[in-house]
Amino acid sequence: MSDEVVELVFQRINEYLELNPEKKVLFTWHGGEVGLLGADYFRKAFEFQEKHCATTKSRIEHLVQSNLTLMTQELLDIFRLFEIRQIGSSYDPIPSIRGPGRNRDSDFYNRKFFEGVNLLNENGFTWGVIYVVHRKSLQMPLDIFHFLTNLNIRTCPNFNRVNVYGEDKNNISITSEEFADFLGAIFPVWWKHRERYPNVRPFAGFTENVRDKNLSLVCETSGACSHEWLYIGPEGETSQCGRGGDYGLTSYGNIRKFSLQELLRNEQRDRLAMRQQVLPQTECKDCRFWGMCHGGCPLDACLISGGFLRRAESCDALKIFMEKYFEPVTGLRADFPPPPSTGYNAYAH
Amino acid sequence: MSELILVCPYHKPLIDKLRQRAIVIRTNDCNLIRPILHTVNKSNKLHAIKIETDTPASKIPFDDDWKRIPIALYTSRLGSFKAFVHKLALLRQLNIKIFLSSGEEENYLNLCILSSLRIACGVYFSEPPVNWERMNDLMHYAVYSRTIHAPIEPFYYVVSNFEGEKQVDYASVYFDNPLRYIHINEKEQIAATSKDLEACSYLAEGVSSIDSLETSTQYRKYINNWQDFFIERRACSFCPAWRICMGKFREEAEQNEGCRVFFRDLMDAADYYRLQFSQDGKKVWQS
Repeated sequence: MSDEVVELVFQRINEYLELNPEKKVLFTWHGGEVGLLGADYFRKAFEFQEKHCATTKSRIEHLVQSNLTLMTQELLDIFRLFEIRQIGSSYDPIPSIRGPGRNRDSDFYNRKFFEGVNLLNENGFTWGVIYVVHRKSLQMPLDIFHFLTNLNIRTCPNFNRVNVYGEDKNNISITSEEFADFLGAIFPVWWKHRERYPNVRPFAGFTENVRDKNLSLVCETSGACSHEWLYIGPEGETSQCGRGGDYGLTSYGNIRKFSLQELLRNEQRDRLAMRQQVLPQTECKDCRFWGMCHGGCPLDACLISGGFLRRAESCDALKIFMEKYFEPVTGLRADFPPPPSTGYNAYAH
Repeated sequence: MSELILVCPYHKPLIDKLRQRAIVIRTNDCNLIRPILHTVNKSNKLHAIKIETDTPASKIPFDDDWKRIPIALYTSRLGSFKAFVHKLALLRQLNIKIFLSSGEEENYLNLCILSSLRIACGVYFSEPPVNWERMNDLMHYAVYSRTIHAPIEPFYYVVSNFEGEKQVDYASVYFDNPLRYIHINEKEQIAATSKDLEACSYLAEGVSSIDSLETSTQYRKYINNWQDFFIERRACSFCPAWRICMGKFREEAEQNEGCRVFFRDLMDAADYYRLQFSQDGKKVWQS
């Protein structure tokens, strides 16, 4: 993203926040790898925020997702100016999954990762790991769980399923059932020792959902992403989110042409919102897990099932995991069917 | 970060240079306890005295004077119980922990006896292999037994300090955790652990380097050595008990599961302890 576009983004954010005094903006810097941009880039971005958001910057929160391999003291100094104190990252103990070169030199990559970790620690930043479950992970779920919970004892890992749309060139994709079984192999251990590993996701989230009736959900399952998210690409082009941008699923126009307000009210978003009325009457009608997933990610539904008004295939993973593992192990039962008549999203409000 | 405690020999010129610093003095001569107390307390913060001796505990000349300072006594064995039992009244008044070697079979039972006599005690790990089954039995007695008994280390340290979201390095019990203790010899050569000092693997030299040690590259690198376990994907990095062991038995762990089973059980014991007991009670110097 050029300096000009970055500056424009902050102008747009300021306009939006001035227009909506009750709103906040959560700005996630996400690549590729943000470390490639270098400290000067972020220094300029900070200056743009200072210049254009003088009265609204208190309502802008920044997050960074980085693989840490290019982390520098200069970058952390700038992140600190943005009041960033935590960096989201990722790690894979399985060799040759991540790393430079054709053979993916994971040893080199992991050493650079730990150099980044050490810099974060020295600067008082915290960091967490998202682990993307892929085909090779399936052979060693508990080993991966212990490895990651050992790697960073203070911040528990988050297990996500790999998303592969189209040709699976590297043979890494897994089915919903395989993902559920991967989680299921870990879950009894986590449940028994959940005080040791309190925030392992998605387990902690599911437990909060079912035991505490706390339905604070992530974007994919909230059923409320339609008018809340915006992806801004390098040329200023916009989409629903990273997934939408990567796969060209939704296009809301360029930020050079439209205000943030306009982009967030783009009428294409109504199709996404419509799912919450259609699915409870159709595919999700009898699903007692509705309140935990709301039909899943609409973009996932579009990519796999062929339309925004279909449920996402990933819902199967949730359902299988809950019925086969979560409920038998915990003795808890999920019961969040869709509201019977109106399709009103009672759980999200 | 709390002040690093220096573990040093009883060497007056060195101790003179360590004025105002917290120190643990190592000696293998029980007769030096009195002179140490006389010399050291005047200008140093004496944290403890570590006595390492081949003399059985039953033959140690425990003394009233020893009441004044925490003492860690390392001996290979207990010796004659008949002789030892007559020292109990005095021992119970001392701030002492008696450590017996893991290398002697009889010590596992003797530690149970010491503990049941309300003498704080512990096992120290001598040359491998460790008899993990005996170690596990001792740990179970130490943590799960409901009869009144004194703490047995390092189990007590682990269970009383274990929290879900942090590492617990029981090497502190042995004054060997480089985040808390560093080791220095008469030549002012500084090492992270007693083994490193013996192996001439130094982090720095000179008393004057102590103040900047924690920010030195060598020290930082040493402290981050644990990361190699993860980069090299060693067995310990996949072990459920990493957070209380941190690879102390790395060679053994690559070959068999003995240490893994023991430390996993110790973590379960820590959970049990946390549920059963409050953190109150007698505090001794290591905690």
